[in-house]
Amino acid sequence: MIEPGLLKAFRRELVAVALLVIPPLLLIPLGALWLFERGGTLAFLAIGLVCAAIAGLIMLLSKRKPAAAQAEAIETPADWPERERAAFEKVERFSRETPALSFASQAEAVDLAHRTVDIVARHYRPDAASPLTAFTMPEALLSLESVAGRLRRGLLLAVPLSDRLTVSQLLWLSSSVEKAGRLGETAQRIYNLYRIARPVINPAGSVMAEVRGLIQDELLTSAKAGLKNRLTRLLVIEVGRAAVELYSGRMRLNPAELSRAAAAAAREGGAKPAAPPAPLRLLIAGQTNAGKSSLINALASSIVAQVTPLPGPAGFACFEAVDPAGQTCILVDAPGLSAAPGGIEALVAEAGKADAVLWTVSAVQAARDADAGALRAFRAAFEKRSDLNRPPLLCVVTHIDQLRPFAEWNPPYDVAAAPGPKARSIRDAMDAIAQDLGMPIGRVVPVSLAPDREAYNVDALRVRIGESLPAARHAQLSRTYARDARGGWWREAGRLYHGVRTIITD
Amino acid sequence: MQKHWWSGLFQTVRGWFSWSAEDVAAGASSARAVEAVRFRAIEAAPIIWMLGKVQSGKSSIVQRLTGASEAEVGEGFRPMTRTARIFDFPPEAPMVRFLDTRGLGETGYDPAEDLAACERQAQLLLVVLRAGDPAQEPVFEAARAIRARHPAWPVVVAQTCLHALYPFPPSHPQPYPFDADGLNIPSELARALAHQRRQFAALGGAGPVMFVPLDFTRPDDGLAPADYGLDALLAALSEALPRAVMARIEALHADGGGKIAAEARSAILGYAVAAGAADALPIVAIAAVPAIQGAMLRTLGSRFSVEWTKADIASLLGAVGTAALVRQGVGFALKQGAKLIPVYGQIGGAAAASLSSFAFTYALGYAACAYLKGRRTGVAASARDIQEAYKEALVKAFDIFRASREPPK
Repeated sequence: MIEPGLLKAFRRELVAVALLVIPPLLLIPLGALWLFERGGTLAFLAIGLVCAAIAGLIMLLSKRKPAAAQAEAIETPADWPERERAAFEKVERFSRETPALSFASQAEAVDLAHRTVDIVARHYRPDAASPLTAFTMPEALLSLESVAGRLRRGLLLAVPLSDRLTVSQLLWLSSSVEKAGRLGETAQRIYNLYRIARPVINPAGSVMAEVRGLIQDELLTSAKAGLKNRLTRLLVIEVGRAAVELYSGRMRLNPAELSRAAAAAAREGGAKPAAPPAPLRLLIAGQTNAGKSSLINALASSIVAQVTPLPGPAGFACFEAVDPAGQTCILVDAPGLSAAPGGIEALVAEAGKADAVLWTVSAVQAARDADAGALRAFRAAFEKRSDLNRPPLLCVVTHIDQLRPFAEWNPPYDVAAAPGPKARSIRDAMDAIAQDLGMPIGRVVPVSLAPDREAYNVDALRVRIGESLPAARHAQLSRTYARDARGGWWREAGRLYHGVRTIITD
Repeated sequence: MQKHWWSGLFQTVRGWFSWSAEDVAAGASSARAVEAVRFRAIEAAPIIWMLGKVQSGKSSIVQRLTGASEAEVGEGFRPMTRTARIFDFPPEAPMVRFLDTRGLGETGYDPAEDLAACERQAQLLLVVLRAGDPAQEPVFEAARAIRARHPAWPVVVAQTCLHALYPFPPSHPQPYPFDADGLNIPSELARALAHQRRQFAALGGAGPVMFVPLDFTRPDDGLAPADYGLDALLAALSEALPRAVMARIEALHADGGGKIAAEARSAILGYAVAAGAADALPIVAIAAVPAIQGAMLRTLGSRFSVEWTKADIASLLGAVGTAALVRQGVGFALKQGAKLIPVYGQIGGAAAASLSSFAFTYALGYAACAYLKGRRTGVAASARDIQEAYKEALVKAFDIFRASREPPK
């Protein structure tokens, strides 16, 4: 029997479907009665037969290719470095090549996941005897959590109403499908006997029924195979993605983060419904006196409700800022560029953790060898370390107020058109800096932070920072801000859309 | 080494008799002779060694000290060593040279190579710091390395771009407050200047270290005066430099000689110095005086776009009369030399020789300018005009020469 829980879960849908379906269904007996009274049954059957024949012809001509071959390409995360992308491509290829799971046994799925992780492990540790075990317990747990989270997200997007099915219902469904299968075999045999006998009784009706049966079979098997394919792929991709993150060290937690996470969990008194995104982390680098501290002050005062100093690595000053929407932002003030050994390494290590690097250059400091040299070393270090994620780099030009003509300060300045001498000076300085530092002019942002005047162009800088974040990070942040504005109905609508698209494309 | 008075006298007498219009004409017609004169002058010219980051204001200082234009200074710097470039002024017959150390922003600047190239002629370390740039460690390290080798060299620290630290809108505090009580200095600027002073006070060494805040801008920048602090810089330099070198610098930017000579003034002065004026340096008769004068005429000719012919030179010298010219020059030297005796106590034959060569060459240069101006405009200058220019220049030559003498101890 059908589980009462399941009926309860779909109560609303069942009532709605019934109300929608019953009136048109009534037309069938009524229409049959009408045809019978008028004696048009045979003509109707003939029309139906012709339509079925045409439909059958169309189905045969446009016979679908196997679903696996036309599965859409999965996007490689754009913000990953080369090595991670290579690993992910292997996973992606494997997901395309692997045959769909039958979903009959759990061991089969576990084995597939195991093989996926193995592919990634061999990519990262080709020499290790047992590549699977080279990470810590918290990392493995975090990995599990992330796979689960992503599978959940994938299911929610791909399978309509999946959020209301309990596990026991799912188990019941699968067992009843098996039972139905056994029952079906008996029925099939009886039905086949009937099919042989039918032409004798009703020749026209039997031809039409045969054609209809063919079409239904075709549709059902292809949809079933498509769904299986899709779920298999989802499993491989998500397990593979998590494995890449695990092996590349992107998931590694430092002790400070662990203790902070533990403290946060303790404060909240348990798991939170949805974890907020990691705080936005900005690294501010540049020569001494280029205006780094002024820039941090200006950024902080324009975005935050509160600023607290945090302990940072030696020489780096960290500030945590919380904006009125509750989004946390961490500003890291790098020490002034110096030739001291290890300076660049420290900067690179810090940049690897940051979402964006703001390279601060004074417009009136023409000695830019130190910047150019440090930037060269900075880029080279990232090229050598393919495991590190290179954050986007913006060049912030300060002290533009000190450019010629000295006695003029009437912002805003249109540096693109550069109509006046001041705007031209700013434009020239930006060009020279872009050239000296080997940066595209589009990534150079002029600001003024003179203490005796209002800061200029800092808001534009904020916008530019937002735009230059890696796509995924950008999306994550904008989602956070948009979350409360979007109602439950919209979420449902989005899920329905994804569900419908899944059914259509499969 | 003290020269005997008779050797100087001998040179003077030899100079009088060795001079001939043919030798001058030969010098003027040979590009090689001009080059030879230039090389000898380069060997003898004093060097002012500048240390400072890019665009800290070094070029503006050279410009203000020499009276050269922005373009002349910009294009005049030539590479000298791997880490330094040099500006010879005037380029044809350098009497002062500015060494600009590059690559101070890079790590580990080693001044050894630059020291080897110029320490014999260097007179002064001119450190240039932008007042608003506190990160001067590379400059300080370079200065300290040089100072360790030559603790007695005077150091002048120019602190530039003061306007960057003025409150808005910027204007120079008047009168120049940095040599007085300093009450009128904007507080942010005062802090920045004091920071740099503290940093460079740690240089050590015996020679004086002088700080000069200045701000050289363009006239159209609207920050009058455009050469704010130039007097203070000249005052500091005159304390730091030997009189002979300082007299040249002062002669360069003091206005004189009118408009014609303005473009040629520095060249004339350079050749005159080369001909042997400043006896503080061992450059007496570095080449035969007629050869130097010939080179000078050739250089002046190219500045006025006039090619000298033998007839031209004969015509110029004839305008004052060759004999009169020589006699006048020598007579002037003797007369002025005699005037020097009661003032400075003694005048040796070497000084007299030096003065006669300097004054004679200097005056001939101005006479040539008058002649060339006539040639260029197509209206031949009269003999009278040329003689006037010659006599006027002789008087100025003495002023310059006197300024270059060390006062008696």
